[in-house]
Amino acid sequence: MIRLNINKLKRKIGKEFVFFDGAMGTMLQKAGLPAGGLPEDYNFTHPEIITNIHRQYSEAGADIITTNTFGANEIKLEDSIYSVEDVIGQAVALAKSSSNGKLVALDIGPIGQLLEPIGDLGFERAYEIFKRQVVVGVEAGADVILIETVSDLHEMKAAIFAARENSSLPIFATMTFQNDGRTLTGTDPETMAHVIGRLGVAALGVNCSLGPSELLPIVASMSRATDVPIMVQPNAGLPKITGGITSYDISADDFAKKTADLVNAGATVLGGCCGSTPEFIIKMRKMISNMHPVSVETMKSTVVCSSTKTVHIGGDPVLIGERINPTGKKFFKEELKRGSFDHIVTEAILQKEAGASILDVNVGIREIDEKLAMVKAIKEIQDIMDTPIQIDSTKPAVLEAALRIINGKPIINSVSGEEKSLCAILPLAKKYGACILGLTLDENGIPKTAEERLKVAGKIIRRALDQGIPKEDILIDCLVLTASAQQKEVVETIKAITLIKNKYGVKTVLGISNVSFGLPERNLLNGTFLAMALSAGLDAPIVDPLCENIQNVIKTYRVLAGKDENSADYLGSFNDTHRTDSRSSEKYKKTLKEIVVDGQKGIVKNKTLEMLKTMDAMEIVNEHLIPALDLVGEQYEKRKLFLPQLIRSAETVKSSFEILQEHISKDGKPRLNKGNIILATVNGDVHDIGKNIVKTLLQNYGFEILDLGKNVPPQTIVDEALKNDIKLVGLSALMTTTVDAMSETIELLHSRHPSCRTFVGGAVLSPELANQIRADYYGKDARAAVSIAQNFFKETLT
Amino acid sequence: MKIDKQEVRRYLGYGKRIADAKTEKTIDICMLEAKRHMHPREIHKTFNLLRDDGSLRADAENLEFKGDSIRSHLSESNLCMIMAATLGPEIDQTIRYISKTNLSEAMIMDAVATTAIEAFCDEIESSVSSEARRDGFYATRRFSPGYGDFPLSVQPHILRALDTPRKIGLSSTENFIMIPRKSVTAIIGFQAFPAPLTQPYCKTCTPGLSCPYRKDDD
Repeated sequence: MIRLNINKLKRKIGKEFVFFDGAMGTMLQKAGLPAGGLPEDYNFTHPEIITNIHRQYSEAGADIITTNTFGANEIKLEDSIYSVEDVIGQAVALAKSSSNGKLVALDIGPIGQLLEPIGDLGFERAYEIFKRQVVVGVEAGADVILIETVSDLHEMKAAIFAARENSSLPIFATMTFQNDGRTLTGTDPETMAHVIGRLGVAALGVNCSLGPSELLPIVASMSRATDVPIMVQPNAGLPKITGGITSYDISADDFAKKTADLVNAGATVLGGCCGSTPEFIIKMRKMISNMHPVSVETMKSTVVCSSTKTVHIGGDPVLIGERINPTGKKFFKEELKRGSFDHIVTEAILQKEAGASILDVNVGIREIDEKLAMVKAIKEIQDIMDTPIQIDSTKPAVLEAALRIINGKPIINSVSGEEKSLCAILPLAKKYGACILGLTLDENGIPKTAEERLKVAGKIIRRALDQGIPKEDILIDCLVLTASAQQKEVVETIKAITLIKNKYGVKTVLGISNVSFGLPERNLLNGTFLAMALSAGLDAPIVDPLCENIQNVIKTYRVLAGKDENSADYLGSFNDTHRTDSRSSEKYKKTLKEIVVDGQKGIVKNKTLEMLKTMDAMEIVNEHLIPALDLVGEQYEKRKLFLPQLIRSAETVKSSFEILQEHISKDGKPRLNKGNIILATVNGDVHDIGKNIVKTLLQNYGFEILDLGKNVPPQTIVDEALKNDIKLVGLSALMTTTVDAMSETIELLHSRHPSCRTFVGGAVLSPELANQIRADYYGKDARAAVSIAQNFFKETLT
Repeated sequence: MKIDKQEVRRYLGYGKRIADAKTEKTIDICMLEAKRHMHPREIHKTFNLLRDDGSLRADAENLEFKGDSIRSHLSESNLCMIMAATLGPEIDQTIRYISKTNLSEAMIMDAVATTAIEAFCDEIESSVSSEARRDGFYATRRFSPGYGDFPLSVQPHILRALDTPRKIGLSSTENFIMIPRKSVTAIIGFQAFPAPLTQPYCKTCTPGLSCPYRKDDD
């Protein structure tokens, strides 16, 4: 049998078959490893068992032997007497000594803890954990890196970054999928192939969980999505547990037969996972000895992804929501300066629900650290939704920070034809596998004619291709000038779209709203311009999806352009509209107090506006809202109504309050503010519904809340309190195990910000415990928090 | 799995009362909606129980059961079933999403999901129980870390013994918070004679009468 060296491997991969070995864990369990035992310990306690397994796989015909280091990360080895360095050093040495000259793969499995936002492990922390494994693996002489059995796409990204930034070894990356066709954290094979396929791996694919038959559709889906060689290591069928012992349901012969199907679906890197043995590798090799790799035609389509969704651009228009952008929005800017991301989250939700398929995220204002704000904004959005993101910044450092933290494949907005921009931005797009949005402008500004814009587009496309960015990842924005100032050039934009699409076949994006700047009834102009652009071939308009006219244009365009089959969506949307109409035309004659008590958020805004015609904002707060809240509170204490109702009333007051604040700021008066308070769920705790309830109620009573979120380190809380000169901090913890973090936070606040007071709450706290950790106040529920705050600010004022 | 609306009301603090009309309607909607976002997965495995110098452990690496309450729960058992169950991460994200626009609905969805994971565990427990009967044993009720004085610190060891991160996507944080959130681990003892049908959970639990979720609350 011919042995591969690393150069041969690199040439061969994807063109000829490459064989990995089979299961290690199964073999170790057979050799007596107990449940919950660390297989890595066997490298020291039973080296002969390990080398024997390697030798058998080598003789069975595996080209690459996998080290016994699946769980050799610092988290899983925490209780072991061996360090990461010990285990990997030893395991690589064992593999090299027994593999008979075959290549050795450093095996890296998942960390075993979940990354944010599902869990609490930070992306950069995950990166550091993997980095430690990679560094020692390289030193020990591993030939390739195998990252396998990963469920979380973001964790896979962290591992790949760690591998390629700390080694030059070829990377093989496989994730594990369940019988619903998704990983345990919801990633589908197509999305995985699109995201990982752009990260410079030697092969990507699937292993574990299922047998070769079940993996067939997954392999097929991946090979349709990417040119990168596809790897597959199936289990020996599905597990059966009899008498506490796990076995697998297919034989080596069946396994081999079914591997042939996987080869026909495009797999070229082959091996086995749980339940497979050297016999499986022998039979598999034999079965496909006279087959040839099958090249599957990939769909060259322009896609952007979140971790669980792929959005295809081309065909039906794809809406990119433009509202997360503070330019010209006073309130948004104020929120960013305050460090509040609530507004961004609200805008994200509104746009998603209005049909935006991609969200543009721009937080560029001078007064803040844009990089930090961008990362925070992206995390907040990824925390709650799976809409892919378009990162919008002019600063390469901001873009790079965002590219690292994004779980998926984003669009970079933007690069231009300027030399400086091309040099700074294109390498980032290549490195992080992102789509790039090219603006047709250069050192001389925006060219007047369509032909000149075509030229700039051509330059951007050429340069991107030179960098190795595939054509389908390049999008062009032909830019529109305002009709009020440069009316003649508006049509040049439309022409340029068609020219560029015809000549280069790339997808086009266009920010619409600029066209109407300086003219009245902007929505009318925007709508018509959008229709023109779509007819010219525009694929993805950047718009305000909440604008009714934009929605109408899209709806009608889809009918007329034959994209909305049988006009089904169009007809459906009319039914919806009628329903909404009848609802909004209802007459509500209740008093504000009744509306609050009944928790009718839907009608409180109109009621508030109506009352503002005859009443002062302060009067509405003091004479109507607060008494209504107090009434609800009393009934809650008497157990006449319950938490869901209390919260509903509180949210109703909140809506009314927002109208009042807007009204007040229009009058040029200062916002209603009875005092500034920080709220946070402490480090290590991820429960925040309770904290959010407290927040809403405090806001109801006129306090201004800086919400730092959940899992907040003590240092951050202290820094924010000092920076914003805030004297009252509310902390929440739900677990006995996180009370320590609460205590630590209070201690740090006391020493660094002595004039600051703290109140604490959460399921595990009691007045005694609060006292013990030196909190200043204890609140048994949200109502108690309100009286703490009221008393605190009364005292500080007098 | 069947979600019991009465349990949802209990988690929301209504005790045995019917909630107001709006909450009742929202519970119904959430019960339907939750099903789309839950992906229940479970794993369970039997272990021998080993007693040594007053300590109690399962026949797996580093799996000691500390605390009087679990020891008393398993006092008649030499064999146990350890189970882990989760609804998956999507329902967590759904609750986070709703909480940004409608906190009271988020709370209701949270209560529905909590009821669902418990109902899922009831199903596992009942099937484990019948299996045990076939093998000539009687199963105890399930007992989870955090009940009585059974410490949460056992969580990572249970998860490791069942290989849950890999098998069902369940792990725990450094502070022993299980991720995904709607997850349960528990121990079921197998013994030679019937165990008490109900455990006096609420009477022995630390918050006692002040707990809003008390089962005996009227």
